[in-house]
Amino acid sequence: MPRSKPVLRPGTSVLKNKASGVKLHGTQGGEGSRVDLEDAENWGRARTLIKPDDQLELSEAELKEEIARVLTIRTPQLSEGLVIWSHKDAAFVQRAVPAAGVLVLDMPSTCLHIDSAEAREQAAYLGSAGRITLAETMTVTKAVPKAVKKESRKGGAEDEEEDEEGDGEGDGDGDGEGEGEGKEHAGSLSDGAGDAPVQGSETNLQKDEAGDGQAKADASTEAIEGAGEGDEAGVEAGEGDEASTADGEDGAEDGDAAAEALPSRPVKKVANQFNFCDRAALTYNNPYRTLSTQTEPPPRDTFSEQVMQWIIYDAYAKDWEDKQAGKEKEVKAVPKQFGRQAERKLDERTNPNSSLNRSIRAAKTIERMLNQNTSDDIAKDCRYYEDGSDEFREGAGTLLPLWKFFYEPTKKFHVTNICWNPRYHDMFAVTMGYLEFMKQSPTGAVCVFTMKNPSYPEYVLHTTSSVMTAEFHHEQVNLLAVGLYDGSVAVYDLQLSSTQQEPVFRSDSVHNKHCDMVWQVTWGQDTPDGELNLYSVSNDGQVFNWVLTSSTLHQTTVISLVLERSAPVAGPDGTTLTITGCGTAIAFHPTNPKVFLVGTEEGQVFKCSTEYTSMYLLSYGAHHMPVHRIHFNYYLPDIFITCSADWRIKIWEDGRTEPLFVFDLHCSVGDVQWAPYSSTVFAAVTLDGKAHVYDLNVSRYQPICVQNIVSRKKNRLTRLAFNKKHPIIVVGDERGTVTSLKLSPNLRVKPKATKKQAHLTPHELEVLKMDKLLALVREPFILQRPADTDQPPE
Amino acid sequence: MASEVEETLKRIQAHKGVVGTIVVNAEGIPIKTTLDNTTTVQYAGLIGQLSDKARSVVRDLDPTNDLTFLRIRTKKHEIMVAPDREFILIVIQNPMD
Repeated sequence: MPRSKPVLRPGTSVLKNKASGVKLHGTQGGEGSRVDLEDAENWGRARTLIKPDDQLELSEAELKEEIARVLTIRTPQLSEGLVIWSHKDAAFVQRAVPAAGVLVLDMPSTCLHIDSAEAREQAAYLGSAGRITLAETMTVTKAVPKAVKKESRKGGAEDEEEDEEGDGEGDGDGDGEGEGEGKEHAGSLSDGAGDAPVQGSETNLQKDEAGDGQAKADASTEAIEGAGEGDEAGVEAGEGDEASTADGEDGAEDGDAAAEALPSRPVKKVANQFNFCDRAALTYNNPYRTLSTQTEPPPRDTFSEQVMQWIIYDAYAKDWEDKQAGKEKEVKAVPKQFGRQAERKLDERTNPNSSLNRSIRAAKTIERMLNQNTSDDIAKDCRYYEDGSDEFREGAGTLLPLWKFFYEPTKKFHVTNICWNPRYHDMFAVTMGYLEFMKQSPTGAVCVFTMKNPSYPEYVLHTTSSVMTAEFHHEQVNLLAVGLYDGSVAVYDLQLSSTQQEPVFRSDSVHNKHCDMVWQVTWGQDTPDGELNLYSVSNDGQVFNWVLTSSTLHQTTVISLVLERSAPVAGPDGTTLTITGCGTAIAFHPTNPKVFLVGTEEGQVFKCSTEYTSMYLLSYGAHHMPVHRIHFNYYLPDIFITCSADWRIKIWEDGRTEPLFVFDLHCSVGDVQWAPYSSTVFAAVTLDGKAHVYDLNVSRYQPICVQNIVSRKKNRLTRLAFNKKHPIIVVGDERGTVTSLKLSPNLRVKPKATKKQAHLTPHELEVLKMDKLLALVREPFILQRPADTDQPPE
Repeated sequence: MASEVEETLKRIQAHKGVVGTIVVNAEGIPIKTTLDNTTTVQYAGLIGQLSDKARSVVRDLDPTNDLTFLRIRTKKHEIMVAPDREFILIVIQNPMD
């Protein structure tokens, strides 16, 4: 919709108003034209006028004479000839006369005066409807009575202008705007403030009503009427707003009537966008009814329970389990009845949480407690006692006997081997058998003891033959490999040993075993397929490798210990025999799992590889009697120790056929072991019942401790084992007893790091310590003799 | 299997300083004892209550925890209790013997 700037001439209105006001005052004053407005306010009080003495007395005619007073927009006092010096022109220039007009209010509006050219233009633009309105409004202007004051008429005219706009815009909008603007303008323009807005709004209201029901033409007619009424109301406005409102309404009614009377023009009726409909209906109320019955009270019971936190927790845990069980049930729709029962039976025995197993565990724990109470002093010694006298004994120590472990049924057996569990440092396995050929028995046993219960073995495994050796697997510590006197090899699972006495693997068949007693078994590195495997060395001169498949032990020959020095011997019937050595000990290289050493009854030690089955890497002429043990040092992987029945202990370096150290103990040496805590300490047991402890760092010739463990006449020591964690050794004797001994502080001296070695780890210090010693005894390579040749010089 | 429990109990009874061994079932009735009747009933009743209370204490401190063993050291004896859901094993030992 085009909106042009409204053209207003407020100035004229104001001026006229003012002029009339002045005129009014002037007439009321009566006495003089010079009476000021302020004076005029006091006229009611001042009855007697005080006149100055020299006041001009005027005649009647002079008083009646009208003196016209003209109000101009120019200030008469203002001089017109004001000049100002202009420095630019270097002359006096006329000064601009300041504007005399005062702008009281300037408000832009969208109203157009009906007479203005713009209004006409707009009308022309809007077309016929606009023209009609224009024509009507023109009529309105004419219809306004002459007597009405300019300002009131003005209000009316504005209303009509709004009408125009309303037509242009459409019904709802136009009405709303028109109303608002009408108010504003009326308010701003008229001096008699309250009057004009009332008129405006009233007329607009009428207009709204009309607009709803009637045609546009009617509306405008009403507006004329309304305006007329409104003007009248404006005249009366001084009395009050209400009156004017009432009048306005009257006028509206009149207008309606008039509009109906007039011939209606067909104008498109626009639907009311704000139509609102309300409909209501009254329904019947349902009659009220009351019905009551008495029932028997439900049974009651008094219940009291103390609720602890754990009871709540248990309830929740049970609920959770039930939920889980429900879910599982859904998954397993049809469970096998038979399978379930079998499972349950199996569970009873193997499930560690079955009540039977729990009762066994409870009983065993109580047994340990009893032992703890009875051997309390020993337990404390084991843990805390350190021999104080060691401080005054340089280079000598003692062994403190702790518990003795034995199992009554195996008291007559010899202890053939002792092996500590690699994970549980209080547990060790003792094999019971016979070391004498003439004294064999058809049974044997492996007793697994724990230091926590010296009175009874934790597990007892009964075998059908003497047990010669046993070793725990280094990873799966529940697996125990066992070598038997009859040449077979078995693997026991200690977890199952409480339920089944049979080994999980056993080489039973005639072919699948050694032909003579197995002297030692040792676990090898797992195969690339992850299968466990073990090596066994036997008196029949074979080294076998056993692979644990799913059910059987699969055997392969690693090497046959053919004695090099002997040529094939002629048999009685013309055949020739190659004489094999009788293997007694085996030890794998700590860093190279393919290389191992085998000791024989002939005293030879062969360095072999699992890769070559036909030849030795090296052969040491180590001893003259059966080699009882080969053991690698824990710190230097190339250093190993051997012991033999020829009374000697020898320390070797890998690759040197000459020993580095030789010790003569004057008795058959049953066992020798390096200490796990030091690179230079080793211990040995001799048949005469003595335990020897050497520390090469202290003395290279003498043992630092020799102690009688058992009586020489009745008993003999056979085997020995160091605990990996605690300073404890266990020694076995020929009466089925194992004695545990605590090493005194002098037997486990740690190397002290000098200031230069502060950065070294304890392990490096141990290596350094041993290296220093070895440097003293190693022959320089230049001085090494040429290797002996087999062929005798010709 | 069950004989292993029997054997262990026999060993316990044979152990140095053991005064008596009592096995109480879940209902609190002594099912195996080496003591006389009145002492057994007294021990079974009182130790049952004590172990229940002790378990309650342990569970209340931490509901995921549980009581496994109970050792009561007295002037004269040591009473070792293995409380289980289904049984209570009581061993009385005189450690001074």
